[in-house]
Amino acid sequence: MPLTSDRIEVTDALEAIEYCYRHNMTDGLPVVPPTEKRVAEFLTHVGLSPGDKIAEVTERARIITAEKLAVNAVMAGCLPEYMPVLVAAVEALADPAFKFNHLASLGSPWPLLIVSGPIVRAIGMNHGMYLFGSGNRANATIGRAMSLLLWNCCELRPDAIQRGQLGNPHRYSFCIAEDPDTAWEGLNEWEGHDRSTSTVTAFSGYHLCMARTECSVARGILAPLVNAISRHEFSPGCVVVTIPPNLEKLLVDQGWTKRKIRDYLFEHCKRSVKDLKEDARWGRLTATHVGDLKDLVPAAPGDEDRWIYLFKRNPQLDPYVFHEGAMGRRADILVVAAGGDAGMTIGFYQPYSQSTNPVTKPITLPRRS
Amino acid sequence: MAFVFLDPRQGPATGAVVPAHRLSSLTGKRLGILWNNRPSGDKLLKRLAESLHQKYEFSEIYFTKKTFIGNAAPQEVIDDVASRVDVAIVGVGD
Repeated sequence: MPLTSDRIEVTDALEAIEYCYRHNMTDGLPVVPPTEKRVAEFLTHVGLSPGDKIAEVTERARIITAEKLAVNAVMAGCLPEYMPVLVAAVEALADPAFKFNHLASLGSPWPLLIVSGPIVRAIGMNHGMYLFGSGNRANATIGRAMSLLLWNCCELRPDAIQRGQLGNPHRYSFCIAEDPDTAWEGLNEWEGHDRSTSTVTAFSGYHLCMARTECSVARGILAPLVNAISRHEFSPGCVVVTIPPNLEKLLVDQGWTKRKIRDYLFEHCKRSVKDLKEDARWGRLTATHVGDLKDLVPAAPGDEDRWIYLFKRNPQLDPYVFHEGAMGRRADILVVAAGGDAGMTIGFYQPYSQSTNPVTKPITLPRRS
Repeated sequence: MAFVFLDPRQGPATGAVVPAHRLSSLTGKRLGILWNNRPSGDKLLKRLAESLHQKYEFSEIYFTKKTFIGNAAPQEVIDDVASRVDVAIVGVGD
C-alpha cells in the first residue's frame, strides 16, 4: 500500500523545516523533514502498512493511521525502534477510559507517558538521573512525537480546540521510563501484565511536583509526600509517584512494597473540613449540591476533626469538595521506580482534576514469529 | 533537484457530521437545555433560556443535565431530550 499523505516540494531540507513553521505543523521547534524513504523505514520496522489503523479517536472523529504516526515520529526525531512504543501510546490515548477531550481543558493537562519493561533497555531510555530532564533521545522524541501527532492530526493546538489558560511546558515532550531492574513489581505488572511484557502508561495531569525527605525510615520518607499530595490540588484519582533507587532500597529493606505505599497514602492523604473551608474549596466545585455556596464558608466548631480523604470515599462529605466525575474514576497510586541514585527527591504527578484515567497498553510490535 | 516530504496533518475523518434539521421559527416551540454539569453553567443556561423565552414564548422549557462534563452524555439522556423538545441547547459555562 502506498503512502497517501500529500507531497510537499521545496528546494531543500532547510526550506522544508521553514515550510513546517509557516504552515503551523510544528510545536515551535525545528522538525526532521519526513521523507518517503524515512517514513517507510519506520513502517517496515513494525511491519505495518501506511493505511493500517492504529486507533480511532472518536472524540475528534479521527483515525490515526500508521502512516501519520510514522510521519510525525520522524518529524519529532524518533528512531524506527521507537515505533512499537508509539503505537501502544496512541492506543492508550485513544482508549475511552482516557477521555481524550479533557486535553482541550482550560486547566492545560498533558499526558505523561511511562514506559515499563524490557524495551526500556532495548531502546536506551532514561530511568535514572535527570529523569524528567532533557538529553535522552528516546524519552525526548517519543514524548514529542505524541505531541506533534495530536497537534497535526487531532486539532490539539491553541489555534484550534486546545483552550488551556496557561498551557503546559510538558507539552513539548513528557515521557519517562521505569527501572527495568526494580526490586518492586514493575508498573507493567501493577497494571496486569507480566514482567517480560513491556507497556506504556498514559496518565494525564498538570505539572510535575516534588517532595523532599531528610529521613531514612519509611514513614519519614513518605511524610513529605503525604503532605505535598494533600496540599496540592485536592482531587481524587490516580497519582503517579516516582521513587528513586536509593529511596527504593531504603523502603524495600524496611518491607515496603508498592502496595504498602499505596495503602499508606490512601490512609494518610486527607484534609480537615476546617482547612478546606479556609482554602475556599468547600462547595466551590459543586453548585448542584450546595446551591449558591461558592464563596468562603466560615468554619464551624468541630470542623477541625472532620476529615475528607483524598483516596477514600465519604458520600456524605465528598460532594462538598470534589467533582462528580473525579469521585467516580479509578483511585490509585502508580509508584514508578525511577530517578537518579543520589538525592532525596520523590516526584509526583497529580491527575487532571475531573475526568481521565491512566491507561496502560502492552507493546506488541514488532511481532516475532 | 527538489526536496519532497510528506504532509503530517490530519488523518482521515471517520464520518461526516450531519447537522440537525433547522426549524423555520422558534416561536411556541418546546426548548430543551442539556447542561454539561460545568459549575455555574446551569445559571448561565437558565438565564439564556429566560432571555430567549421573552423573545420566542416557548410552550415548554425542559432543563436536564448529563452526569459529568468529561463524559459524553449517555444515549438515554440524549433520547430523553430528543423525545421531549423541538429544539435543544447544549452549552458550557464557567
